[in-house]
Amino acid sequence: MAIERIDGCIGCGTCVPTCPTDVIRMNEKTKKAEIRYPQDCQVCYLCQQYCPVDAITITDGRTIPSISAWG
Amino acid sequence: MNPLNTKFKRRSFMGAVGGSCAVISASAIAQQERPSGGGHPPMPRGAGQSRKQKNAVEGKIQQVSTDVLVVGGGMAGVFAAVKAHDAGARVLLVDKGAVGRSGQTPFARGIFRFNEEDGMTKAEYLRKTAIAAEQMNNPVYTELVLDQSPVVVAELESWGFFKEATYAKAMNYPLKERNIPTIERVMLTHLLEEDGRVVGAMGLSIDKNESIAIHAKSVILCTGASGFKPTGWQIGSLTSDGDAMAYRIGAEITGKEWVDGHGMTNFGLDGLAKTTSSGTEEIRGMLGVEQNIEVEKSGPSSGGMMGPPRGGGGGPGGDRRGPPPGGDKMAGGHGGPPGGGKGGPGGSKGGPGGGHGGPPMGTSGGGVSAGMSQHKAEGLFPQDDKCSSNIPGLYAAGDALGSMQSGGIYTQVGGSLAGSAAQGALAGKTAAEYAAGVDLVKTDAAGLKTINTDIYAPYLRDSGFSAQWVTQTLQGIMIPNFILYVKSEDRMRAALTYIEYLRDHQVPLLKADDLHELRQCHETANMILNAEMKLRASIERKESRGSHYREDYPERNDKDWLCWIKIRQAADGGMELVKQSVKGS
Repeated sequence: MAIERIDGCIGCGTCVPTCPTDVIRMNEKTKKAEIRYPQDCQVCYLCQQYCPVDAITITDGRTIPSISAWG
Repeated sequence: MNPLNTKFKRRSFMGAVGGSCAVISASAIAQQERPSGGGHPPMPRGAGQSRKQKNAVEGKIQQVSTDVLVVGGGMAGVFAAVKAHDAGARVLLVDKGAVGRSGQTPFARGIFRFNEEDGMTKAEYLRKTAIAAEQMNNPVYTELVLDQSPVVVAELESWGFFKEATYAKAMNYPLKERNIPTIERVMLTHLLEEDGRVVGAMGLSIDKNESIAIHAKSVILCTGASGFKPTGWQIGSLTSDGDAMAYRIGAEITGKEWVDGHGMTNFGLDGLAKTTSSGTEEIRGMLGVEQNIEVEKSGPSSGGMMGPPRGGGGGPGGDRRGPPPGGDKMAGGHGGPPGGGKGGPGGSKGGPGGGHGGPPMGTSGGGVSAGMSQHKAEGLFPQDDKCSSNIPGLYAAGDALGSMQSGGIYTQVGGSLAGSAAQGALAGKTAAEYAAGVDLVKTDAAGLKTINTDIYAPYLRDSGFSAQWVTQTLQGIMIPNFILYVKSEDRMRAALTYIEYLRDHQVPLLKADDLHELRQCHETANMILNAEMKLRASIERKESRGSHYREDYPERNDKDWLCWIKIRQAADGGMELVKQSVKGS
């Protein structure tokens, strides 16, 4: 759910600052982007939009079920 | 000495109101001042220092100086920085995330450009807006967007704004062109104040153990709207930071009783930006509040949570609590829906969700905007027609300014983005003029150290509550639509009791294990302060108007309520609400 996978990351780092809620960080060892805080993904698709190699997979909904005003 | 701490120390822990960020760090102080036998026992602190603590304690304070500090890199912030620079000021822009990629700007697809040739005169537009806004709009700022929208649209065009779905290049272009320095991934948490004047800000980096103090002659808050990280809109980074920082140094905050009523959602970037005009949109109150009322009465329709309200709700345009308009008329300035759930046309790369089943329109819960602030309705109360707050040197623009451009409702698709640009430009010019006439005053080392302790307190705490959990608890209180959409005094008083508990017992015990969480601790404290403001303002306004609906006072009451509500910190640290008559009404 939410941001799910990063496949084929080229390590450009573009996605890291695009995330408004700081979900993605660079892994210092692998030099690739990793999903560090998936629970904070707000499913805004910005990282996917900015990724130059379409490496990011996002699915509907959030990791933590969200509270809605009615249901 | 940071006045925040002075204020805090002056009052007892149990009396601490306002959810001050200072409260975060106050557990040590609080333990001394806590009335005996009252409240929660203080959480014990562990012995010894971990490496993490040591690093944080030794974390250095980076200091920089500028004439004008702009906080936030969305539409208002970029215009503020550019115009302050062009007026001769040294400018620094700081963003919690990144320029053009924070707040609501990346998702706004429509921008209003007023032109009388579209068939409506300015006088007529102003008159219709006042009717739709039920006289709550501030005509000074309504007129600003009418006059300045063609100017800002032309300027955006020259930056390449209409050629790029993601905006980042276009929004950075004018900053780079002018060599305006920017600092990204730094959350400013405290405004610096000396002798009643704002003299800068301080905050934390989310990437390194380093706080930053910015000494500035003037500060412009372009921190966007407020909310509780709602379920369906991408505003998880908009946590009322500007309102909270400003309130804590004595600024007047307004508009907290108004709400955004989107029942539906919008994900991703849907194509290139487009201009909107007065010729294509009807001026009216687009609220979605009627849907909330209907659901509160009868429950969600069988069409699922996102289905239309049973019975259809109110009438179309002109009905002040009409149902949410059709997708292409969604209020909020976020542009149209992303392709009706079948995969939006998207931007340059086939759009978000392309190949992933489309953006999740309709999959979020009902009333997905719950708690979101209404564009241009909440924020620092403008003292004049130049985006000035009541604190010398402090200005605000865009959704951080309670400009009441269209009152406590939303009247014009694209009007918010245009208003943010116009107000940002104005605030930039005003702040540069102010900065040219004052000396730089620097908060001393002791004052900075006190704030640094505040900033890092949750990080140094050995035990405490996670920001995530406290935020979820807060959402559970504030998001159900029978609190802020269908309001009644008894329910709001009950909610306020919970919020006060979070403020007094959980904010002081927020705990962060890393810098990502430290940012969240400060965000959570700010959201709790925002919740208290929203409840108190909503309790205060004993009538129904615009997006504010009281089932115990269902009628509009012009005799008592042709006024705005201002919230400020009283001398005793409590929250004080005052009425401000609507000018020209």
